[in-house]
This record gives sequence, C-alpha cells and structure tokens, in this order.
Amino acid sequence: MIVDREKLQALFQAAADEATRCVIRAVNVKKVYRMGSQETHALRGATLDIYRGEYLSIMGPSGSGKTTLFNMIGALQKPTSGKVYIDQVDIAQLDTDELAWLRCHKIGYVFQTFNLIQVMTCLENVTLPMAFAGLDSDAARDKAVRILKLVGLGHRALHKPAELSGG
Amino acid sequence: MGPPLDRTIGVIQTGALDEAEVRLIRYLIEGGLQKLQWTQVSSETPVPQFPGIDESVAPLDAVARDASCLLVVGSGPLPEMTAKPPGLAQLFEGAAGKVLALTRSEAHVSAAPGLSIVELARELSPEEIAKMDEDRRNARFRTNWIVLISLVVTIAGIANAMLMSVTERFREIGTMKCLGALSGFIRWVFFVESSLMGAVGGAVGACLGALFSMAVYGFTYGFGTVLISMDFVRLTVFLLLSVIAGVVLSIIAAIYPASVASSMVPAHALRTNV
Repeated sequence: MIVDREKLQALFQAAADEATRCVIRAVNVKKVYRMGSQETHALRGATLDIYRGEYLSIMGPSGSGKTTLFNMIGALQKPTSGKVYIDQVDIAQLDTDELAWLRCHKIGYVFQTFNLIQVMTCLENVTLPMAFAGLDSDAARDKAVRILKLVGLGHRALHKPAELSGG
Repeated sequence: MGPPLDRTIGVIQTGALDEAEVRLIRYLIEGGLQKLQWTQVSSETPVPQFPGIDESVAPLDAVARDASCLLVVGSGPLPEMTAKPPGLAQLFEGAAGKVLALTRSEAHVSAAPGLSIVELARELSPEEIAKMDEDRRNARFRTNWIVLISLVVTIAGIANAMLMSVTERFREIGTMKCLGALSGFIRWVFFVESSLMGAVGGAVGACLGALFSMAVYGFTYGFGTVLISMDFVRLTVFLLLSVIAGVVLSIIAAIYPASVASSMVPAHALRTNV
C-alpha cells in the first residue's frame, strides 16, 4: 500500500483552509479497557477543541485518563466510541499507512522517557523520522547536523544516547 | 589366497581408486598385511597413503618380487601385453604361479600366462539387487524424515528467536511508529534481520556439517582417504543450497513475528516496559 501523498496533502490543505482554525477536535471520546470480565472506563466522553497556536497543558491526578486522551488525539490508539478530528479529518477513517503519514507530518511527540533508540547514534536518531518522511539521506544528514548544533549537541552527534547526559 | 597375515601384495594401480577398493585394501591391512608394493601404469593419480602399513613403489616388472599375489586396482585399463619392455609380459613371466586378482570386471586381462586370475567383482543376483534397492529406499525415506523434522524445528526455532527479538523491541517499534514508520518498513526490518540470521546460520551449519562428515569418514576409513574421495563440486553446491535454504526458511519463520510487530497498536507498544 503506497500512500498517495499529494492527494492526502491536498485533502489536509483544503480542510485547513476552511473558516475554522480548529486543529484538534475530540467529540465524546470514550475508552474502555477490558481485562477479562472487568471493564475500566479510562475516558467517559471527553469533548474538546484545540485551536491553532494554542499552548495547552492537560493536568490531572494519576489515573485520570491523560495518557489515554493523549493516545486518542495523537492517533496512537482508536477510541471505543466518539470521534477525533485532526485538521478536520476523522482519523477513524484513515488506514494504518495514512495514520503513519499523519504521525510523521502532523504530530510531534515528546516522550517522558525520551524513547531514543539506544543502538543508534544521536545523528541517526534525529535522521530517523526524516527518512520516514521521505527525505534523501544527504539532506536529512545536513538537517540533523544543523538541528543538533542548534541544541548544542553538534560535537556529540556520533555518540550513542547512553553516552550523553540525561538532563 | 589364504590369510593376508605378514604377506606382501603387489598392487598395480591404473587410476583413481573407488571406495570398494579402498575398503578392500583397508580390510587386508586389518587382516595383518605386512607390505603394499605399488606400481603405477598409465595413471597420474598419486599412490594413496594408508595408515599402519609399510608401502613402497616399484617399477612394473619388479612389483611381483616378494609378493604373494598381484592386485589390479584403479579406474584405468591395463597396458598392452606387447608394449616395449619392461612391461606386462615381463611382469607375468616373473610372477608365474601367483594369483592375479582383479577388482573390476571391466579391467580385462586377455591372457596372463602362468597366473591364475581371480575376479573379485561379481554379478549380483536379482534378489540381492531387490534387497539393496529396498534398503536404499528405506534409507532415503528415513533421511527425508530427518530432514523434514529438522526443517520444522529450524522454522520453530527461528520464529521463536524472532518473536523474542520483537518483544525486546516493543518500545522501539512504538517509537518508530510514532515517528511515522509504515507497517511495511517494520515488517521489512524483521525480514532483513531474519534472513541475515538464516544466511549466517546456513553457512556456518553447512561448514560444520561438512567438517563433521569428513571427520566421521576419516575415523571410519582413515584420514588419508578423505581428500581423495571428496567431491568438491557437490560440496560447493550443497554449501550454496544450505545458505539458500537458511534464508528461505528464516523468511518463512519471520512471517508471523514480523506481522505481530507491524500490526501492533503504537500505544500498546509504547506502554510496555522491557
């Protein structure tokens, strides 16, 4: 299955040009985890709109469903019921490869535990998503070096994540 | 001819020895043979070395000296009687009264005046041929079974190893999926890993297997004969075949683990802590 990137991009473009500037819209999102006969309601109908340019933090006690909500609107998991729209596109209608495109081009994740790939160097870790995005290796390399220099890691580009400071 | 104990045999070598001839000579040596006196006719094949026996090389007309009998071995023909001396005629003259043993019926000796000819090769009766055929069929059946079972075990083993490798990398798979890796890419990674493993395993296994068979052959028939009786073309073909088989089998074995990895929901993959 090959993603028709141009078509998909046009779809997102048209949607973005619409009057509303809503980037993420969640409508009555529910998530139920089933462990045998036991049901855990992680989300009981969350509805929210997030607009372009907004800086938002979601807070709550442990077990209140922050991660589940993050998984839903980050297209990492399908909700039990309810709809999630990213740039007006219902992500339930996308297949796995289109979801991969969405994660690659529309969403940036920052993980609590970094989730760097330990066997790869810093440079390779940075170039990995660019390879998924279809950038050729030389351009990706240049860009990655530029980014690493920007955050002050230019001199450690060929070190493995374990050899860097954790801070 | 009587028991070979403490005797000398004159061996006329006409070419490469086959396995039956090698075994015959080893059998004679085990019977207590004292000396092998070789001579070569129309042959570039080196005189084979047998452990535990006194060996010497003599010219054709002197090979019967001190020998209690003559043995003709090898793939080539004997020279003409009329060849210029010293030839077969002179040999037979000096060996009058002795036994001339032939291992191959096709190595015809038209006339050996004064010698009694013994043909060691004999025609098999139909019952014997039928029995040998059946033995061979049974052996092939057993071999096929063993090969089949070992292939199944191989697939199970590789699939297990690949599943381990997938579970080990749940988080990495999740991270890659978050970064936008296509399912096909994840599948491809595991197929590459598996086929590399199969290629290396196949090559190492084939080499070890060849060495093991050579060692077994050496212990059974003597190490001097290992290299003589080896077929290097077939050995190479089998080495290549086993590498190909390793790659194909490990790709088959990786189908399930790779699909597990590629169809994983990224949220699940991220949650697991290994």
